[in-house]
Amino acid sequence: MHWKQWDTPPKYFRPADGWECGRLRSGLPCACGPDAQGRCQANQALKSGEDLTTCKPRRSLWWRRRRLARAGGLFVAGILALIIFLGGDKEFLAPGELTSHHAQILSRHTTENRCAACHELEATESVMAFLTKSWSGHAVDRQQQSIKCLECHQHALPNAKDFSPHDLPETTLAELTRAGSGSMRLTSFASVLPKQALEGNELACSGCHLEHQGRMHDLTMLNSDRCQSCHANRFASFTNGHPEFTNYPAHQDTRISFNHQSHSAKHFASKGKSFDCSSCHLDESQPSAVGPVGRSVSYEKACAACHDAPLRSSFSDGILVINLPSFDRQKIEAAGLTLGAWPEEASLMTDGTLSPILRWLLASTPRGKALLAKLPADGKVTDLSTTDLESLRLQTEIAAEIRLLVEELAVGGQPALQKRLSASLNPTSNSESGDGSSTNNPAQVINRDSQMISGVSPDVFRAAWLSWFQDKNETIAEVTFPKSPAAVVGFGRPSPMLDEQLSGQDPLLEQDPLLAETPVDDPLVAEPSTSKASTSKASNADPLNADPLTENSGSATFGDGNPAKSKVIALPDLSPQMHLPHGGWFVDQRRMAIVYVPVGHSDQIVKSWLTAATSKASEEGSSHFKAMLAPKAMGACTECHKIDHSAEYSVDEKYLWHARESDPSLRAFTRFNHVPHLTLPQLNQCTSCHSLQEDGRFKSMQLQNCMDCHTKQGAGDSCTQCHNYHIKLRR
Amino acid sequence: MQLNVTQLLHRPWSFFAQRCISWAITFLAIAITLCCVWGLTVRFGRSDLFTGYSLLGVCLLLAFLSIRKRMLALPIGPVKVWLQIHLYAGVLSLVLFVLHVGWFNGGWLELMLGSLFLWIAGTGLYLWYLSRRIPKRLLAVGRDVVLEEIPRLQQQHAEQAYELALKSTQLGEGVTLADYYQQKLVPYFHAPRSLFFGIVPSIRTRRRLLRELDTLDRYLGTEGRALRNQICDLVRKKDELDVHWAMQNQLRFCLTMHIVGLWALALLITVHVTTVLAFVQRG
Repeated sequence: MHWKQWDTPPKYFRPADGWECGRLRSGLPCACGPDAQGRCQANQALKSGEDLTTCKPRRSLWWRRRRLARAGGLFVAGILALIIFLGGDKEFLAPGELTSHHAQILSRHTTENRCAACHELEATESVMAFLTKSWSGHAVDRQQQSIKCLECHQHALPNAKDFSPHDLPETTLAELTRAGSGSMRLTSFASVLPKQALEGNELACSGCHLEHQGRMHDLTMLNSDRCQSCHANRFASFTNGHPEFTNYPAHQDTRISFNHQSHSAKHFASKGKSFDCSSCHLDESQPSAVGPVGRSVSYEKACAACHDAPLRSSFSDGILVINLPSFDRQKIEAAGLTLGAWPEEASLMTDGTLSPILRWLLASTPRGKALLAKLPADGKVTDLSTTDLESLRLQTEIAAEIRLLVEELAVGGQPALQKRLSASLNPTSNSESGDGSSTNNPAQVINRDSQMISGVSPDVFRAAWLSWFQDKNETIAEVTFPKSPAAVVGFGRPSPMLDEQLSGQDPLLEQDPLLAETPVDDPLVAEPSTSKASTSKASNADPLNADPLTENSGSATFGDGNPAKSKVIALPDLSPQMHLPHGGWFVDQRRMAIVYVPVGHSDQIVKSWLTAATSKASEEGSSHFKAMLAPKAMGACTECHKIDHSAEYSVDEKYLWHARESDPSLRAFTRFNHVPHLTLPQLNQCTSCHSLQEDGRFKSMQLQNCMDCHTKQGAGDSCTQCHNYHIKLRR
Repeated sequence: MQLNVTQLLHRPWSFFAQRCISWAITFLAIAITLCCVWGLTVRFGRSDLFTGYSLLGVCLLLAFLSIRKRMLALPIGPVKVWLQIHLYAGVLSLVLFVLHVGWFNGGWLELMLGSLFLWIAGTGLYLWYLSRRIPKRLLAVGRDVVLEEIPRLQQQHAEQAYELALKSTQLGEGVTLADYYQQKLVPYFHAPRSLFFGIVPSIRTRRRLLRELDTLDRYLGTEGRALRNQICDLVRKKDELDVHWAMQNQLRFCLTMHIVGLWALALLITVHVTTVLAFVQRG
C-alpha cells in the first residue's frame, strides 16, 4: 500500500537512523524504510503481498553529519600527530607569543633551542619529549623557572634571588610592616581579603610577570589590588585612603649646605636678583624646556659668582703643613738639656701650636705618636711648662722629631711624605716598603694617597731645612743633600760628600764644570768650597747664601760680589697673594712654616687631605684629623661641605664633595618624573609644589597636591605609577 | 492563605518565568566566577587554572545534551530541560572563555582551540537566535510541517496543480490557463527553489505569479476563474512549504556547522589540558 493511500501520512521518518528511504527526497517514501544495514525493506513487504517497489536506501543526514564531525576530529588528530610524533615545531605548544623584549633577545636562537633558553629542557628534544619531561616534574618548579629569569636579570635585580617581597630582607619588611600597620582602614573590598596565597619567599617571577601573553603585553603591569592583598595598611584607592605624605620629598640633610630661604629672601634680594629655580635646576643644554630637572647644580654655575672671592680669601694665607713652634732655648739649656738646631726666631719663648697636618705626619712613627700623646689634644705647646724638667725634655724631643721629619722629607722628597701620610692612614700597610704605597690596599686608597702629595717639590723641604736647621757654624761639606739644580742655583750649597759619591759613577757629572776641583769660573761655588773659616765671608759674598728666606726682606747680588759691577735685586718676603696666586707650596719664614696654598674651589690636594682625615676622624686618638675638619681649619671648605657619618656611604664618600644625585642603579620605593608635570601650565612653577619653611627646608608635599589629577579617570591612580616593586637600596 | 511549597514547586511555570530563572542562575554563576577570578588574581593565585578547569567542566556539561539524546533510558530529566541547560551553560562558557583566554596571543595550538571554540559557540548562539526567530515566522505562515514531509506535500501540490490545468482545457474556454501552467507554473511546482531563497526566503515570486494569474481573468470564463483561484491557492501553499523548507534547512545547516567541530574541539582540549598540566609551575 502506498503512503498516499494512508488516511494519516507517517509523521516521523526516523531521522536518527543511519539510512533513509531512497524515495524520501522525491516525496514518495515507503512506510517500511531501510533496515540498520541499509537494505530496502520493500522486498519483505512484497513477499507478504503488499504492492511496493524497492529502492536504494541512502545515508541519512544525521549519519553524514556525524561522519563529518569525526572526519574533522581525525583531521586535527592527524595534524597533531604529525607535530608531536614527527618532531615538528615545539613552539606549536606555546600558549602565545613572547613579549617583544624577550622575543628580540631570542630572535637569533634557532627554533630548537628557543624554548630551552627559558625552560629546563634540552634543545634537541621533540615535542613528545617536552611533554614527557614536563609531566615528570622536571620543568615545573616555579623557583627553578625564576632562577632562569634571574640569569639575565641578576644585574638589574641583584636582590631578587631571595624571592622575598620587594627584594628586601625579612627584618626590613617586618619593620616596614610595623610602621605601616598602625591605621588599618576598611575602605576597600580588598581590605577584607584573606592573606595572600603565597608565603614569604615563595614569590616567583611568574607570579606577576606572565609570559606568552603576546608581543605587546606589558610584563610590568601589576594590579593595584595585588599590592593591597599583602600590605597591612589597605585602602580603596589613591584618592580614598592613601596615607598622607609625611616626609616627601624626604627631609634629608643635603651634602652641600644651601639655604634656599636665606638666598631667596636675603642674598638675592639684596642684590636685586630674582631667585629663579629654573636657572639652577634646569639644564639649558637640554632640548626640552621643562626637563630633566637636576637636583643640584655646579659650583661654577650657581655659586662662583658670589662665593669664589671669599673662598679664595679663606685660602689667602695658605694651609699650614709643617710649622715650627717656638721653644725657650734659654730655659731648656739652663735645665741642662739641648734644643739642638732650631731657628733663633723660634727659640725665644714657648709658644705656638702644631698644625693638624704636622701632627698627622708626626703620628706616623711610634715615637711621634707617643710624644703627641703627651701634648694637649689641640697640639698647643704654649701651655707647656718651662720650669718642669719633663716638660722641657718633651719640648726638646718634639723639636728633634720635627727636625727629623723635615730632614727626612728634604732627603726623601715625595716618597718620604707619602710614606708618612700613609703610615698614619693605613697602619697595617707595609711601612718598610719605602715608596709609601700599601701593597694590600685597594687602588682607591693608593690613588688618594698619591693625590695628597701631588705637586709638592722636595726643594721646599730642602729650603726649609737649610733655613731652619742648618747650623750656621757648620761647614757646607757637612750638608748631605744630593746635588740638584735648586741646591746649586738656589742655595749654592752643593754636597761635596755626595759629589764624591757620584763623581766616580756618572761620567756626565765628571765632566760637569760645577764639579771641578777648582771651579774658578763659578763665583757661586768658588769661595764656599775653600775652607770652613771663610764660610762667613762667603756667605756675605754669595747673594743666595744670604738666604732671603731667613730675613724679613733682603737683597740678592749676582756677579762677583762687587755692588758696582753686580746686579742687585730686592727679594721681598714671599706672599701667597702676590707670589702664589694660583696655588702651590712655599716656605713661610715669618710663620716658620711650610705652607700649601690651594688653587681655589675643588683643590684636589685639600680634598684628598680632608677625605683621608674624614675616614679617620672617628677613630680614637685622632684629634689631629678632627682638627682638620674644624671650621676654617682648611679654608672655607667645611662651611659648605658637610660630613655624613651615616652608614649609607663608604669611607671615602663620607666627606661629601658632591651634591646628592639620584643613582640610576638604585630603585627606591617611590619614583617621580618632573618632566610630564612641568608641562602642565598650573604646575610649571616649582613653588606650586615645593614651598619653603622658615628654616630654609622644604615643606613636605601634601597628598592633595597629587590627588587633584591622579584619579582613576584622570592621570591614573595605580600603585605602580609612583611606586617600584623591586627595591634596590644602597646598602 | 498558607503557602504550599510543594504545590509551588510543582506548579508549571510560564515560559517567561523559566527564562527569568534561567538567566538569573546564569548571571549568578557568572558573578561568582568573576569574584573568584578577582580574588585569586589579587591573592597571587592561579586564576587561569581556575577559569580553565571551570571551562572544562562547563564544556562537559554542554556535551551532556548529546549524551542525553543517545541515552534515552537515563532518568535524568527530559531532553528539553537539558537543551535549556545547554543554552545557558553556553553563555557561561563564553564568559569563562574570555576570562581564560583574554585575547589571542599567537600560540598555534591556542589559536586553533580558541578559534574552534568560538566557531562552535558562534554557531550555537546563531542557532539559539534561529530557534527563537523561525518558529514565529513559521507560525505566521500558518502551517506546522515537519521537514521530512515537505517533499511529499510539494509533490501533492504539484499533482493537484497539474490536474487543475488539465481540467481547464476541458471547459471550452481555451488553453490560456493550461499554457500559463506549462510555461510558468511547471518550473515553480517541480523545480527546487534557488539557493538565495534558501538563505533569505521571500514571497516575491509568489506575488509575481499571483499577479500574472490575475491578469488571465479577461481570457477566462466563470469556471475558468474558479480553477484559476484553486491554482492560486496551490501557489500560496507551495510557497509556504518552500519557506518552511528554507528555514528548517537553515536550522539544520547551522546545527551541522555547530556539531561538525565537536570532535576536533574535544581532541584539542585534551592536548591543551595535557600541555597545561605538564607545564604548569608548581610550588
